[in-house]
Formats: sequence, C-alpha cells, structure tokens
Amino acid sequence: MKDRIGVFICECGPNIKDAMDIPQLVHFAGHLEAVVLAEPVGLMCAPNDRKKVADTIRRHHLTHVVFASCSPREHEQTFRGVLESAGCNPFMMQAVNLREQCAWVIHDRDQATRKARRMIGAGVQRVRHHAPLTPREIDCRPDVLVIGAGVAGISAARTLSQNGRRVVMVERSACIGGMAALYEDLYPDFNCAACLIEPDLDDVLHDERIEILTTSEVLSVRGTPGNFTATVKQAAPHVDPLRCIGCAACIEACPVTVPNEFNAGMDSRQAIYIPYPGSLPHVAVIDKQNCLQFTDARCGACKEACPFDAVDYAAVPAVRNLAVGAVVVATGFQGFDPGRSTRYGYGTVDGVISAFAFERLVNTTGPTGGKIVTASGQAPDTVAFVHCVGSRTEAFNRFCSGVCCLSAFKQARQVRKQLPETAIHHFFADLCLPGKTAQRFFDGVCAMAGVTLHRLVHPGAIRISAENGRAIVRGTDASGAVQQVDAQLVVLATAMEAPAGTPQTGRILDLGLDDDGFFKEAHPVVDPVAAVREGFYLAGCCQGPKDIPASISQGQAAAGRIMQKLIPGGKITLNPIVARVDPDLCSGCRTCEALCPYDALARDENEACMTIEEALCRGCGICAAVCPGGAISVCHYSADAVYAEIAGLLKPDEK
Amino acid sequence: MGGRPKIALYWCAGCGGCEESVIDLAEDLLTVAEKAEIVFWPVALDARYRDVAAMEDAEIDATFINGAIRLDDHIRMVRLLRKKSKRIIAHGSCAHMGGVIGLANLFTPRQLLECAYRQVPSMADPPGPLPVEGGDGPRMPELLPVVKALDQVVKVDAIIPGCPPPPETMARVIDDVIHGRLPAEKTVFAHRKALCHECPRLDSRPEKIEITRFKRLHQTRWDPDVCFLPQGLICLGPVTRGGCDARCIGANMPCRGCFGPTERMDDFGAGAIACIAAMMAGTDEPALAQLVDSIADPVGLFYRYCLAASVLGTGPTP
Repeated sequence: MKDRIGVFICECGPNIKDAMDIPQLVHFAGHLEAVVLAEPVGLMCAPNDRKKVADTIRRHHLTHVVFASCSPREHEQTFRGVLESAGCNPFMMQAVNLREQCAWVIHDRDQATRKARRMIGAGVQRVRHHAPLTPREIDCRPDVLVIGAGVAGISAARTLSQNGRRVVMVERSACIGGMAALYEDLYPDFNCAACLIEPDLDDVLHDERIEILTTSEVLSVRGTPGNFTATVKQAAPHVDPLRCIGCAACIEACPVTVPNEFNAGMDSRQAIYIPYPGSLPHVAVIDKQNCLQFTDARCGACKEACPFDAVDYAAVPAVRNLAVGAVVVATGFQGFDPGRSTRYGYGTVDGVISAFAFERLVNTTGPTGGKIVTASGQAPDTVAFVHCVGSRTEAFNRFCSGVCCLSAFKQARQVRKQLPETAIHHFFADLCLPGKTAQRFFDGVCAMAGVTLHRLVHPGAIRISAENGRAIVRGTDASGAVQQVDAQLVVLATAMEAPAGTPQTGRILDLGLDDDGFFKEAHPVVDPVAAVREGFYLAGCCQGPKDIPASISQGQAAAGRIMQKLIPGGKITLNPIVARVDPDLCSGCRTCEALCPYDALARDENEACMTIEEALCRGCGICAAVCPGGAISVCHYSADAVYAEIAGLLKPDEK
Repeated sequence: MGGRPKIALYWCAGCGGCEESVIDLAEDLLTVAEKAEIVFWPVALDARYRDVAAMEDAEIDATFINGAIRLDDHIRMVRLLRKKSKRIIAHGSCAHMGGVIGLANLFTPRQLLECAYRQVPSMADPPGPLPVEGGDGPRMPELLPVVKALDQVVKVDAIIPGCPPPPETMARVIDDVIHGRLPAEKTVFAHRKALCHECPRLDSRPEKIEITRFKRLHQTRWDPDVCFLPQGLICLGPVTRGGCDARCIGANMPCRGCFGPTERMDDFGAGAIACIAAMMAGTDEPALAQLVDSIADPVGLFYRYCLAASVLGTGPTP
C-alpha cells in the first residue's frame, strides 16, 4: 500500500496561530511527498476536534499522521488515542512540537514560519519510517516488598496484609520495630512505646501473609511497575531462628564483651546477643566481627551451651529472588553524630549524651533500668538540653528536623517526673512547635518549676567543656550575653539524618536523593509518597525527618497507593518501545550489558549473542547507541527514522 | 582462449601489501593466468592507460583496485576502469576506507609536502624545492585536496577488506571470478558480525570492564589467553567486522580495525570511541579527562584505517 500521510496543524488557540503563518504551512505540508492531506485544526486536544480529525483519518484512509502541535510530553498519548479511535495503529504518527520549540521561542513571525516548515518536513520524512507496534500485556504481580521494618514499613505491611496482599519485609538488623521500639514514653501523652508498638510487631511476626527477612539486604530490584524481581541477600543464620527460643544460655557462655550499640554504648553486650529485652523476633544473633569463632575459630562456647542445638557456625548466606509488583522504601534515619563538631564536647566531656542515649537511659529495659543517672550512678542535680544539634547549620544539615524540640521537652518532663528537684535548662535559638498539641505541651513545660530557657543568638552559639567533673554549657544569648550552666547531664537534641548507606541504597534501587540526602519524592507537594522511580513508594524518615504518627500515616498511604495501582489479576501493559538485538549482527562482545541501567541484557552463552528481556527494557536506547557492531536498535527510533528526521530538518528551504 | 574471464588489477595510493596478497597466491597464480585473462596489472604486466581506453565498455569482468584515491591520476584511472568493468572490487583497507593513507586528511597537501620534502630529519640540505604542479611537458600528478576511499569516487560493487586482505579471501574471490561467479552487489567478503564473535578470547571477557588506565603494548606484559580490554589494552574487535580469522589476536596483538565497521555502523571511529568510553571506570570528570589523555594518538588509533571514509574525514563534499 502506498503511504498516505496526513498533516494536522494545530492553531492551539492563539498560541501557534498568532506566531506563524498557518495557511502557508498548510500549503507547504500539502505539497510534500506522500502527503495527501494537510489541514489546520483549531484545538487538536479538544474533544470535538479530536473526533473531527479521527473522522478525517478514516475517510481519507491515511496510513501515517503528523500532528504539528505542542510538546509530545503534553499530548502524544492523546494523539495516539486519536489514531486508535480512527482504527489505526497508535504509533503511526509523529508529534511535531510547533508550540514549545517554535511558537513560544521565536518571536519573528517569518522566522517562526520558516522553522515550522522544516520541522513539519522532518516529521513527514520521519513518520514514513514508523512501523505499527503492539503493546504486550503481562500479569501484574500483586505482592509487595517493604524495605525496612521500622514503624513506617510495618504500618505499610500491615495495611497491605489486611487487604489480602502478600508482603516480604527486608530488614537489615536482627530485629523489627526500628528506632521507635527503643523508646520509653511517646510524645504527647506519655504512652508506653512498647505497649503501643509491640502488639503490631507481634501481629506482623505471626501474619502468614507477611514474610520477614531480618539481617537481610536488597541487592537489586529489576523490572517495571507491577513486574519487579528483587534480589535479596540474607546473612548466614548462625543461630537458627526456628530452634532458638531466646533462653540466653549462649549469652552467658560467651567470653567476648563489646559496647552495646542498642544502649548507645552505655553498657556492654556479648558477641552472641539478643539486641534488647523484648526485641522481636526474640532470638540470639552472632556479631561475626567480634565473635572468636569467626576471628580465630577457637571458641565454640555458645554452640556448646545452647540446649537447642541452634548455633551453626557453618551456615551460609542465602540469595533469593522475589517477584513483587511494588516496593515500599522505609529505611528510616540515623541520629546526627555530635562528635562531628567539637563544640558539644560529645565523647570528651563526661555527662554529654545524645537524645537517643537519653531515651535508653530512661527506658525500663535500658542500662540503668530506667533511672536517670550520670555515668557515676548519681542522679544529676542539673540537666541541660541543647536544641538543633547538627540541624539548621551550613556545616552539617540545613534543615530543621522538626521533631527534636518536642522530643527534648518530652525528655524534660521525664526528668521532672523522676527528679523533682533537678534544675532543667534548655538552650535553643528558635523553637519548632508545629501541630495541634505542641504549643499546649510546651506551655506545660514552661509551667513546671525549675525550668530555665536560654535563647541563643544562633543554633551554634554554644560550647560545652569539662570543669571539675561537670559539664559547663556556655551559650551566647540574643542580647549578646553569655549564659552559663553548670550541668551534670547534657542531652543533645540531634538532627535526624538520612542513614549513611542512603546514597548506596539509592544507587541500588535507582532512586534519586534530594539536596539533604533523603530519598526524593515524585513531587514534593502533590505526590509526596511516590518515589522518583515508578512503582516505588517512600514511607517514614527516609523521605525526610518526621515523627511516629507521620511515619505511620505515610506507610499507610504508600500501602493505599499500591492497592489502588496493583489490582490482583490485573494486567500490565508493557511499553512496546524496546530495544531489539539482531542476532545476525551481534558478536556477543557484551559492551551493552554493563551499561544497561535496567539489567535487561544477558548473553546467550550457546550463541554468544545478547538477548533482551522485554519486560525489563524501557527503551532508553543506551545499548543501541553504544553497540559497536550496530546490532541493536530501538523500535520506533530506528537509525533510518532518526536520519530521515535530521535530513528533513536540514533540507534547504524552497521558497 | 576467447571465452576466458577478463581480470584487471590496479594500485592507487597504497603500500603494495595488497599486491602482495595477490602474489601470495604463489603457484595458484599460474592457474589464474591460465583460466583468466589478466588484461591490466601495471605492477606485473606492460599495459597502459591507452590499452584500457581502447577496450569495450564492461569488457573486463572484474577489476580489483587497491590503494586510496590520493592523486588526480587515480581518479582518471578508476573512472576509466569503472567504465570498462562489470564489477569493481575495492581491494584492501585503503580502497575500502582510505586506509592509513587517509590519515593524511589531518593535514593540507601543502603541509604534507613541506613535511616530506623539507622537515624530515633525513633531509640533508633543507630547504629543498617542492614538486611543481602543472607546467609544460611531463608533469607530476597533482595531490587531491583530500584522500578519498574508492566508493567516494566511483561506484564500488564489492569489498575485500583487510590490511592486507587474507590470502585465502583473495584466492576465494579470484576463484569465483574465473569460474564466472561475479560477486553480487554490495558483497563484503567478510563476516556480518564483529570480530569478538570469532575471537578465541571472547569467553574471558567479563560482563563489566572498568578500565582505570589505558596501557600501550610496550608498557605491560599481558595474559595471552585473556581479552585485551580488561587488561587495559585497547582492542577494536567489538567494532570491527570479523572474517580475518582473528589473525592479529592469534599473534597476541589487539585488533586495530583494518576490516572496518559492520554494515550498520556509519562511522567506525565514533563507534570505537563510544565502545571504549563505555568501559572507562568512574564518573569523576577530571579523572576521566586524565584517563582519556592517556590514550596515545586517538585519531591514529580509532581512525587508523577509516578516517577518509568517516563522517568528518573528507571535509565538505565539493
């Protein structure tokens, strides 16, 4: 069949019409080779004009169509729909961007018309090289991968499971519950954190639709929304979780003692340990870095001590592939390390601790059984809280973490409750008291006896030093005067940062980071739950500092978005614009393989030829561009089509 | 003797290696002379321009032309041969793509003459005279402004690639011709796939190559059983059309691309640069620039045989 090309030139209201000579363009296009029809259209995207154009396409038996209108980002899909409604293959068209690339950037009418002629000519030349493409459909995978088992991840997993979805949770540490499970009382009502969170953790542990992989990491997630394959590596289970009942016989036998990170180093643990009292799953883990069995292979004390034969030094790591349709990223935060600045005396001045350490100190399962005491075991006569440690400074984090002021005031009330006579001081430059309860809570703190507020001239106008075994806090206030407090305990309200491994996680998952190092949202205002990569959702502090209720809400929101997008039994339409390998030309040199961002290329070892997994290919064209043998091409962007378009653009203008 | 196929061979600007690939037929050459009539072969037979001009059009069955188009005389001769031949076969890299001769396109003819006649260290008494173009009586042929590949001057029917072409390929093509099997149009007497496919080291090539330093052969010892690329030695096998039986690789030397690109590649050098760039480790711009700088003579490496035939190689077409 001979090519019968139609060219529709959209006036786009006044946008294109006023910028160029439409009748001249119609005349020009109408005389190009193989063009059988050229028409102006008032507003191509309007329903009545779409219908009119579809009728024209059908009536004139057009085989190819050029839409000279706006950016294909705006309406390529619309115009493909017009072709479909006219009974044509939707890919037999070319959008020529007369509005953004011509009308809006060229103010001289004659010049704009001349450029438009070339652009239309290029589109007409190109479209003749288009071939019909048919999108393929595959089954949607309704299961979900949740990365991180803190409160955000758990709320997402539970919401999904309650709706019948299967969830796999991958958690890097040995226990679930994240940071919140280590707190004692929660803002604002002093609810017991363990009492609120543990039932949920227990639910998750016993939910047959939720599988939990602790001490595990995601190695890669390949594929497209609805059709991901996640590769997960689970560390060797040197303590068999099915045999271990958490009896602690092994712990008593272990000869190695190291600082306990779950109590901010305020006490110690063994090399085989249960993370903290009540941690779930309640099983022992071996810290291979410190275990003698793994350093010089001599010790076997825990294995001997275990009454259930649960210890297995020879266990090996396992790598699994998971078929999921969506991913929730809930990798949490880390507290700012105050040792990065010398002004706080952290690690050098006795009595200076982080807010996290205070949470453990005041915790009934913590190193002191919940007693607020100094390192020497005394109740402090004076406690100072320092706000904005590591936040709101060019040196570390520019952002305000938004929760540390309230956390510090909550801790002040915990001090007052336990130690009625102790003096409490707050050093801050500004207070962040958002939401419906914060002001009232703060007023309550101000009403307590023995609380002094010191307003600093800026967050960094403070220095802590040791004198006579006490911590001296000196801050410059707004009037320029130096305020000095002689404290026995100083609590630093540290910033909530993205965990140190976030850039690497971002690379593995192909997620963008924002300027502050958190995972970036698809849109900060209207799409704050979706990640940049389609099919990925963000929950909790990995997207930015937030409190527990906000993290839980975001986890639930992510679950909701997934349930709305991934319908069990549904189909996913694969983009038909994919790369193809010509097996007659491919030499199997593998140059493309290392470059594919989606891991879609593999080598068929028998044929020494590359193959493309179409469900993974997104048609980015990197392989086609680099293929040194010219063996790869991308459907819809063949070299012939691109050269034809260039030739059309460069063709001298006949007047 | 009347029905024997007629063959011609001509040598434009080249080193003579392609002629050697014919001589390498050795005693088989006698069979060729017996089965075919060699009507024109200046390196071996006494026949002149006027003898060819006197022939009927398309009288010669196949003409093998080696060497690049460097002189105005070459154009005159190959146009005449085109007229008198049923098939024109580009013989060797210079006729195919301009070859090493094509690297002269980096300079003007004047610069080339200055260099050859005045600046070379072996010149005893600079500044000597330069060849004079034109004038009365016998004249020197003129240097063209740029070197061209054969198909930039006349239509080429088939290509025997290689610098020089493998003697087996020569033997096969000549055998076809003397048995009346003229090559189909656009035949390239080589493989369609790149060299890697026939390379004995292909399986040693890792999935990902990350070159941190480009090495030259004299700077390193390399494993003769492992792909050159992960060893930091540039090999153009991925870009180069196969069919040479990986001769250089067999001699433990990396490929330099004399067979030219595969059929869908428009610019060998650009393809080679993209291919090697894809293997460079890291993302830090200054470090990458330094890594690039460690490639000695990039034009002479990536465009060694193909500059004249490349997108930028001949400058604007007149």
